[in-house]
Amino acid sequence: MPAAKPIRYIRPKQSFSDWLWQLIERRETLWFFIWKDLKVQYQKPVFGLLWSVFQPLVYFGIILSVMQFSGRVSTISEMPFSLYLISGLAVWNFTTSSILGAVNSIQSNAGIISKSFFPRFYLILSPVLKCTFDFLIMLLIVLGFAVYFQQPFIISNLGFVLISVFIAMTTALGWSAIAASLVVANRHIRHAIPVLLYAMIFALPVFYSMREIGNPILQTVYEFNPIAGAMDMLRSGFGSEISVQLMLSWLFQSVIWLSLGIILFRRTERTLADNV
Amino acid sequence: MKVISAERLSKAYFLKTEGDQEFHALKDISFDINEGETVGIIGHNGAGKSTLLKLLSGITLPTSGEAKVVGSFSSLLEVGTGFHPDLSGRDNIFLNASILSISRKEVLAEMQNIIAFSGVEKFIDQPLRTYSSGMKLRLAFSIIAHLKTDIITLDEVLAVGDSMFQVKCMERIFDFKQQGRTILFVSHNLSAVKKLCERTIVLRLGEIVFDGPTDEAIAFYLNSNSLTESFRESDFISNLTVSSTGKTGSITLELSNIPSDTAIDLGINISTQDGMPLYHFSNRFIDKSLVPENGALQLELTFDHQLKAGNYNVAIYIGQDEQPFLWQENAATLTVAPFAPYGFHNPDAIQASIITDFDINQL
Repeated sequence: MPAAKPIRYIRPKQSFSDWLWQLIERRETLWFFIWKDLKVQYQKPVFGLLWSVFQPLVYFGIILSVMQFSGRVSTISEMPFSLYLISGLAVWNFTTSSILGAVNSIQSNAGIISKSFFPRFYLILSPVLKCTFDFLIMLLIVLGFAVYFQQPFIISNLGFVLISVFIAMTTALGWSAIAASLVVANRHIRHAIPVLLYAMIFALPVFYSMREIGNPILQTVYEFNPIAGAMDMLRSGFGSEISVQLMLSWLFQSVIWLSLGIILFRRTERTLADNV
Repeated sequence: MKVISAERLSKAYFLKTEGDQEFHALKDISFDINEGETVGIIGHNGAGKSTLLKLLSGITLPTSGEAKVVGSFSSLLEVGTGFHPDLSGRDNIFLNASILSISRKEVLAEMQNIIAFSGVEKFIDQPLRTYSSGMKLRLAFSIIAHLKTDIITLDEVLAVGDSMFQVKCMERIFDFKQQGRTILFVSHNLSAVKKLCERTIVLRLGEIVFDGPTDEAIAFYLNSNSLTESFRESDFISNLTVSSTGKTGSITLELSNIPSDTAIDLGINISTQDGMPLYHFSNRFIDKSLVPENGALQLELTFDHQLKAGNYNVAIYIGQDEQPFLWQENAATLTVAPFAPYGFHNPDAIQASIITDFDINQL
């Protein structure tokens, strides 16, 4: 008795459960997409590793030098400034490269989008997951900084660090899906995205702490940006304090962003093959 | 058993440039395909063939209507979809197969066969960018050749590669057919369709205009050609007919609204559908003068040609007093019926043009 044959319906709209099911069913294709990107990058492992941490380390060097030369004193009291900076940059770099990766992914895969079928959300998922891999390597560097500065690593706060990674991934995925949808709708937006992402660094606790500055506007911006949350929760692993109430709020915000991203992307993907 | 049943499938595109005008690539397409059937889909460029396959594969969603597909399905709209130049041939087999939704397990089981069949064993662990285009094509085809899916759709996959490659492709497709797989075959190569398919669907401007035995379908398609649907209405040309019987072509047209009754110049160009010019006819070559009466003129051009089977574009030029006043590209399509004395081992690609006016003697 042969196995039951799969039945597929082709309809103008796909139900959310079918969409989710397809995402799970074709997961092998997703692994291959990620594997392809990783394999291309890590063909020469030394270079692969270098590129995954290159950008945040260069920014780290620049910002640190500028602070030194201009004689600015950091307002960070809870941990060495270098550790504060590198942990912020790790999250920021993950977010920006995920979003840029997703926008690029739509464009560079235009050929296979119009010639083959696979769940389109993989175009967003695979760059974000690939960036997560680089992010984890970057976290090892952050850990290295903590060891160098003899900063106590608080094991009991490891849970917060994991939630930080979760919030960063969820938000990055949501924003990537939104950015990619906007670019498909109007490809000129593509030019605005890198600018916005680089500007975002000033609204985030990367080289100054919003909490310590105490400006109410900055404080609100901080509380309503889950990526800011991911940064400070990562730092909680090295002794910075975190309010549980804020954590829950960021967690909630990140899930909202992801849902928005999925809703928008599902509208976009229906005619994606016609528009790329 | 029905493996594909489509009910009133439609696909509309919105043309943003022309004030949100709707363009219907497919209109209310309904058909059923049974298990093991080999069905040809023919029609002019823009008739909706590719759109139909894209809908069935899920690449794009229909605007309305529904289709049900039973069984594993793979759609080959291109050979080597998703190949990455920096990865090895072996890695690319996995990548391409996964895009065609063939599982890693299946690929592993067939790996040796795929590599052996491709004939690029020696280079299989080299990056793909070091491959020649022929090697890439063979590798891609080898993956396709080991497909295990119940339903296979092919869109002009044969239109790439040299004639040897095309023959190999056709043989493999015949193997698929023998194995009882269901095949949907989109092609402009009418002789291949004739050989492969018992049933053929003719699409025209997004609608099914014929669905039945292949011989009748091809006859219908060829007949519908001489009434040129691609002809764009013009103030000057009417009743344009283009036909070819055997090696003799004929074009007739009526001209009207010509500004004055001085002699005109007529030029007719025949080119391939890729735009390569093949023949040019002009009344000046044979010193014939064409003089309109009351601004009107009826013309007939007959010529012997050596064209292989296929569709050709006809362009019309009209000038007067050394001034051009009409240049109509794609005025009509000339269709030359298949001419395949060798049967299927005679893919059209090996004929540039055909000469029948020669002699062979046994000495």
